[in-house]
Amino acid sequence: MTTPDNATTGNPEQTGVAPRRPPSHITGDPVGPRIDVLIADDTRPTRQVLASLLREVTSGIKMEQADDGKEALAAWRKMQPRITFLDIDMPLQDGLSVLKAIRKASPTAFVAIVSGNSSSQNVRAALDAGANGFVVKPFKPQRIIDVLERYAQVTGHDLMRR
Amino acid sequence: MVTTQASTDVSALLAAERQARLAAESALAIAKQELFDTNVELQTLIVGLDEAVAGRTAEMLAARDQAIAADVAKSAFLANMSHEIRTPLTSIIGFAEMLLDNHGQTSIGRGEALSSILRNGQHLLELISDILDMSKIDANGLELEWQEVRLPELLAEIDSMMGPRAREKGLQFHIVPQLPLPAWVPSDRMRLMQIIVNFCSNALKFSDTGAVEVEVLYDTPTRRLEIAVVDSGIGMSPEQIERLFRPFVQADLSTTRRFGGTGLGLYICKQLAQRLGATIEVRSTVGEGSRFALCITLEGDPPDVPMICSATEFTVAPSAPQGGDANWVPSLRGQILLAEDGHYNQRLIGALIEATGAKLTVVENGELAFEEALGGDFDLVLMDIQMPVMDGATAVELLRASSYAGPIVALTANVMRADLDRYRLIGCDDAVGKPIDRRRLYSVMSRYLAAATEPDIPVNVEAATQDIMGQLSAEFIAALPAEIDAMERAAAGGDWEGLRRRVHAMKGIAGSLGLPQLTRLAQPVEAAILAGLHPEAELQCAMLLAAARDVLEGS
Repeated sequence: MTTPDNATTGNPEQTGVAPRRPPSHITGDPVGPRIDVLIADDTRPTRQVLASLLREVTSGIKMEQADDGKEALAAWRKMQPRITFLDIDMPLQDGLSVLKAIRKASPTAFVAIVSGNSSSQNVRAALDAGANGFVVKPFKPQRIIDVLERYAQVTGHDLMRR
Repeated sequence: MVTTQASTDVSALLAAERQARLAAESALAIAKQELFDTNVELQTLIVGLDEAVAGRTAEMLAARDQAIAADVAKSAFLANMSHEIRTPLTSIIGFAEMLLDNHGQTSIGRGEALSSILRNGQHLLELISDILDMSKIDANGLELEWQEVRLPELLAEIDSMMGPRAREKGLQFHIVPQLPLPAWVPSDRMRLMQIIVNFCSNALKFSDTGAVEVEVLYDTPTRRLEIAVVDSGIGMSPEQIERLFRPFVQADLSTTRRFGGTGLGLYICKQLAQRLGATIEVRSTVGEGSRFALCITLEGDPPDVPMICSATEFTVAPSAPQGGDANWVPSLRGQILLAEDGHYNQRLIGALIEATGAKLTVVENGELAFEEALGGDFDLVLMDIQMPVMDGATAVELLRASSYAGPIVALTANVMRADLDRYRLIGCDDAVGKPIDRRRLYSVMSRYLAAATEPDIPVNVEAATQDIMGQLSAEFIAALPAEIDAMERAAAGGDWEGLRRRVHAMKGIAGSLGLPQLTRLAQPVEAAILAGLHPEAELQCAMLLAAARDVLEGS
């Protein structure tokens, strides 16, 4: 058992980033290094569909969920997830400002927006704020897979179950 | 005594004088010799100078003549081009006016007029492609894509492309491979095709009867591959052959009038062959026909190219429907998004797409294209590059930035290699030139839609996702009566934010669970609440709830 950082050793995208907090909740897990994934969305069915899909198509991930913006940011700070799926329209704090806060804390964190608002204005705002991907709800499984493939391109770490 | 004394003095004087004279004469002779030598030297220099001047003058004259000749050739070319461009344009404009003026009734018939417009338009396109190609080659801007070009496929494609054209003209067309042959050659597939297709087009153009054959032979000891196009056409004299590969010049100026063409084809072929490390050999007899051969010597030792020795391995499919038959329409399944602002192109390309059975969505600007593509479920996006509001290039860049990975093909009038490179760079998978060549469009569509029927993700994943969807859908429907009640209460009690949350949630998920109508109807409710239009929201909400009750009744 090692820290998840081993998974991306030698990847230029990740160098210079402070080592991730040794994840105590993972320690003792016999399977091997896991990738932390955070799903932040205020609707339970969306979180469930996304989580089920991720469970099916990936291997070696550990998921946590948040159902409002404040909780999302708190969860992000606590677990420092490799991948975050972030809704925009959420109670307490909107996803865009959560994204900006994440971006400020980590230039390399991988954050994909999952939003029902597909207007190009909204997408541009998200991309300008540093989103690595944008998926429109209701989403097709392929779009989530596209995001995971982009993650693999950027980090060299393929999460897809083959 | 005195006399003797005096005579002695005189003779001494004389002797001295003679001595002095001799010395002077000698000095003079030396000086004269020097002068002569100098003179000779000077003469030599002058002659040399004359020669140098004459040489330079001759060089200058030659250069001037060359420049004049090039200028004359270019002027002749421009004059010829002007004629070449005007002739088809005259037909196009003339027939189009005729059709307009007479409401489609013309003396030669509507179909004939239209096909004449089409034919002339295609000819113009060919001309422009040639000119662009040539300027590109002249500017050394030609980029090659080296790859293993498989001979069976190459020849099959030539057969399917040229076979129908030959038969249209009443000619036979055969591919004659002489085995054994290498399975592939290292080359640029597109450029190799271009050369052979040019040979074939010429062969068809200049033959009225008989057959055109493509002979393929390989000499193992010299490792020389020869792809030769043999025709039984009008043939050429040695002088004509000599002039063939010069730019701007056809074998005979009158052939331009008689057979059309730009006179650039063979020049382009020769330049391309050079770049591909190949040579072109021509043999011809007036009245008997010609043989144009492209010769490629395979390099690399030991020979690492596998050989094809039996005919079964080398099946040249006889005029495969792909690409060959102009009327071939593939049967396809899948969804296509067409982003195109031109009304007529929308209709034309749309009709071509719908003929395949694929489902079509049309949008008229880049912004809509972006939103549709990102939110929809398309197997292929055809993206016009120049569009209003947001251009296609920006839409593609935004889609890729959003990590959209589905296939996107650019539709564009600019299809030179540099343009294609640019489209690839911004994230397009391919490009189809405008005006649309239907065979090209269909071949691109077949590539992506055929792939769309094969699952990109493992089948069990798709099935598993379906299971989850089914399960969640059942949960959703089970919770729906309570949800309807809650929404009604919120609307009645004026809890607009509460209602919006519920509607928003329904909008986000219903579509994924096979209830797209609820997502669609939820959209205006949310929009009305956000806009503060509460009566409108109430009305829209009633419609949404009615649809939700329909779902319950139907389940």
